[in-house]
Amino acid sequence: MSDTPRWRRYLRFWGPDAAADVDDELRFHLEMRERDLIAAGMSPGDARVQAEREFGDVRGIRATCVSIDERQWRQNHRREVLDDMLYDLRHAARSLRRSPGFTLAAVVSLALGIGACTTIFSAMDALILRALPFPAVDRLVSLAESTRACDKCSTSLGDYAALRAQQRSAFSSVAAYREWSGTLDGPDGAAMLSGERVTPSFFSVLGVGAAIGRTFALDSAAPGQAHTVVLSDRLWRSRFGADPGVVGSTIEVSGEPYTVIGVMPPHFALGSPADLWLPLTVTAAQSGDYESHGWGIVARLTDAATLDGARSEVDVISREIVSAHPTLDQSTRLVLRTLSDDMLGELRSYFLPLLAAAGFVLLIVCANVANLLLVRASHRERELAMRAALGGTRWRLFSQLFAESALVAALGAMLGAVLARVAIPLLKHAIPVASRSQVPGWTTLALNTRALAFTAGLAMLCALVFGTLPALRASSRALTMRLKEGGRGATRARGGRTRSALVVTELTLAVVLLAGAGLMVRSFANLLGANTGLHAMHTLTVSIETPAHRYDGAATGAAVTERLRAALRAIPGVIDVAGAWNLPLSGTRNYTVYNVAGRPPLPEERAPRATDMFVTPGYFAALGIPLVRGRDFTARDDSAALRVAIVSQALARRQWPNESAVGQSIVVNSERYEIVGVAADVRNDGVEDEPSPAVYRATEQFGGAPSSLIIRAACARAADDCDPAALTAPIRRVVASVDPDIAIGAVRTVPQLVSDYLTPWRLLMTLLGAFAAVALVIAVVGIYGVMAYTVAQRAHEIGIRMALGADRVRVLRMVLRQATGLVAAGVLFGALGALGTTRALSSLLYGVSARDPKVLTGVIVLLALVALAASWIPARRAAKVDPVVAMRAE
Amino acid sequence: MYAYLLCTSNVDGNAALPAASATSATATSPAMPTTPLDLLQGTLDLLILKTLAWGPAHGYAIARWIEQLTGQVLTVGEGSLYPALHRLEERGAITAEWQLTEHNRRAKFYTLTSKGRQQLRAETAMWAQFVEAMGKVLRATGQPA
Repeated sequence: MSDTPRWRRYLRFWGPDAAADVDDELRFHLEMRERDLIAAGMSPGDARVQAEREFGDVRGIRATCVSIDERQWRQNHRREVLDDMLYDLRHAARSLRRSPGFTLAAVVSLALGIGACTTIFSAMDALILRALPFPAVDRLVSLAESTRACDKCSTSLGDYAALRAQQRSAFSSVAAYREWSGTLDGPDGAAMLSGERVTPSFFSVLGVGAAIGRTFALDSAAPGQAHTVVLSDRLWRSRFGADPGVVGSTIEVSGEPYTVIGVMPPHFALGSPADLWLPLTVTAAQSGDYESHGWGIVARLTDAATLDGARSEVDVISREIVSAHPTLDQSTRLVLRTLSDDMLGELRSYFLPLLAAAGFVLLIVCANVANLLLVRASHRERELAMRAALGGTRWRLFSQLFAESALVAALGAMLGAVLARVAIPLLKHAIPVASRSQVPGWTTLALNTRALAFTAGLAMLCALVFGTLPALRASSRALTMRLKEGGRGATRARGGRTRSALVVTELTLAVVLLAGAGLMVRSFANLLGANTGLHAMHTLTVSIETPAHRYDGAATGAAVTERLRAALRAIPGVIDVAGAWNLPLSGTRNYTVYNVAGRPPLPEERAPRATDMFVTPGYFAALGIPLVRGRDFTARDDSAALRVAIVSQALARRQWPNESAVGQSIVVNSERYEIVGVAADVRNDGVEDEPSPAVYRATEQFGGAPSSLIIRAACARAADDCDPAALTAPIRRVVASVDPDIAIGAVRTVPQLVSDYLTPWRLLMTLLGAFAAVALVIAVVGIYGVMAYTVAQRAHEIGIRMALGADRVRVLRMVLRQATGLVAAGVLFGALGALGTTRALSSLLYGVSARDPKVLTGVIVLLALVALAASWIPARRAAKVDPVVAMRAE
Repeated sequence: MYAYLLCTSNVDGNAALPAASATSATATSPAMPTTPLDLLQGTLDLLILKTLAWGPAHGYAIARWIEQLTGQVLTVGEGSLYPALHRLEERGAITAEWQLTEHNRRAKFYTLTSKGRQQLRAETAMWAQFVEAMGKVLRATGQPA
């Protein structure tokens, strides 16, 4: 048996031309036979004919042999390629093990870049791309009311009925829904539930059917429909042990019996996750009601309809509505948005900067690894030249070098996936409990297979981006370079320009990221410093849900509120208890229009607007809102008493700039309220919004129990030994003792309320800050690496210079001058880039301009200082070069 | 390892041989006049391997040797010889190399590999068993109980 190399050389030579090979072989056979026949006495002509006849079907045999040979060649070729690849990978692994410093730097920086991208991609996948799990989601639209003062307000059932009645071509179906909260009786007391009350068409509009059982019958007159309920997968699992038998059974919802008719598939939700869905049958009276808002409308467009067509149709309908009802705000229009714009528009605005930042980090990382590989390749020129001289083809050299970068990328991707695996749960739980309902898809946020595939794809891309260039360059150089040149020359500047460009790129991107992070930090600091108007460090807020049917009406509502307040006040450490229907910074904004009594009433669209709040006595004291004039509500302001209101300073200033508001009256919904007090301004709508005018009314005058309790805890001083959260357990106990059917939500302190509200800014700041920090470190490592390499390469030259009389300071200056050039270029491009890109953040900034000079200057100074400090180390090394040693080393 | 199947006699030019193994499915049948004794499919491989056990040889020599050794009883059609050689090469039982003959002509010489040697041993043993078993039946005098 011949040895392998000869075998392979044979294959290389003959393999591709199997046909010629077979022809030669068969011709040899025929000639031999001919010769034998001639030797046996046959004439040459007869011998040829005889030989061919004996042989038979030459072409058939030839074809068979050729096809066997070709197949064999292909197999061998495949095996060889595979062998080469394995060999390259083994070789790459060995050579990476030999330089742990390079490997560690490259793998860790890649892992950071890939980890960042994977985290952001996973989040975007769950929160944006798959947040709306409905078929043909691009055909789904939502409708909102827009008026002069509010561009995205909830709709009324009148709007819904009008859309349904007049639907012509654009909509195939329309559904209305409204958030609902209630209680579910169970063995461990009442649990608070959130859900939606929906028209029966809700599920068919969204295009999702029940996983078990059915959804509501479209025929609203279906008997018994009113007391049926559809459960979410989550509630079905958590409260009913995933028992399919629950369908058909009766459960107590808010104290009333409902028959379970179906269970929805996992993760079915329109926006905020719901526990259950209750049917809504729109009555004739509701169909004509354009005043009661709070409803959402979702509709499915027909296949033929366009968004613009649907918009103009909706516009016609809303004009008809206002012209038929002169008392309505005449500026009201129904506005149509795609469901994804409506539900995810705000989240998307957060993701744009995050995606860009993660991409920048990855670019910096790739530039850095490319640089490391370039430096590494130039250290190995001798080795590569040797291999080329020994017969390595360019392709073999290239693929060996490429194998190294592929291996580095694979390791980086693995470590990056681990990082993302750690980071994603952190990110997930950084979204506070209270805000999760506003993040559709929160429950599905996890490192998933799609994200992993994405990671792998990124790793491949990285390998291509940073592996190709150095591999091409090194493999071509190795071939063109003669071995003896492998020494070091005095001015080996080749590749230096590429390396400098890569470092400048890194610095540029780092400046942009730092500027973005700096803006977010400033804006978050401004938000933290903003005066919300709430001065209550030790006040707790808690949402409660009272069974509505039991406490309906003013008297019973007031009674249960009074009992709750009395019982809670008895807890040691509680000073006072107040209630409200709506907490500040809750995310929902309620507006009302009002007129000043005694002045000519304005039509609704021109009447002034105010934030609409309903509170109990003690509310202002509990939240630390000073009453600048007049008095608080008292227990005497009940449903029988004269209607009273407290207004905010902003409102008072606007309407009565020169006189006291107390004693004046306003008219809301044609009822007259006497103003008894003026409260300091509060940013009810948002920390980032200037305080708007507000009207506070007393819940006791309207009835119903409050949906939030505000509990002021006793703390003599703002010291740490006073922990209001310790009151959570007693509060739960006491509420249960008043009525076990009252469900109670999360207990939060007022600072927590504010902090939860600021979550998006905090998360953005943290993520951008982390990305910027990674970018800074990598960019600084990059410039250090380039300077260190340059100094090492120029040691000989520096030695000569010093031997010729250059002193150490001059050498130091020479090296630093080069570093300064790189830093200056990076900073310049970075500043330009930052000015161009930070505008994307402007909607998220508070109290700082996207081109804030302070931030930009600070970032530039920071980067320049750190980068020059990093260059100082190799510069010092250069200055310490001993001319004798440096020159002898040659 | 493939089974020994009896080759259909009176093969015409185009009829396919019954497949002895998956790899022979592409083979076209020989357009040979009927041989004195048709080869059992698979025996050809064994004969080739045995022939090459004495040393490297080219296709023509292999064919002649087999004819001589069997006293012209078994004639090897080139139509099956060459595909068989190429298949054995593909399977790694033999290797091929271009060498010069004693008459200074370039010819493709086949050499037995160690894998081929193993195959030869195994098939020789099987062949012996087969012959013995066949013999027992054919020599039998009484009907089995």
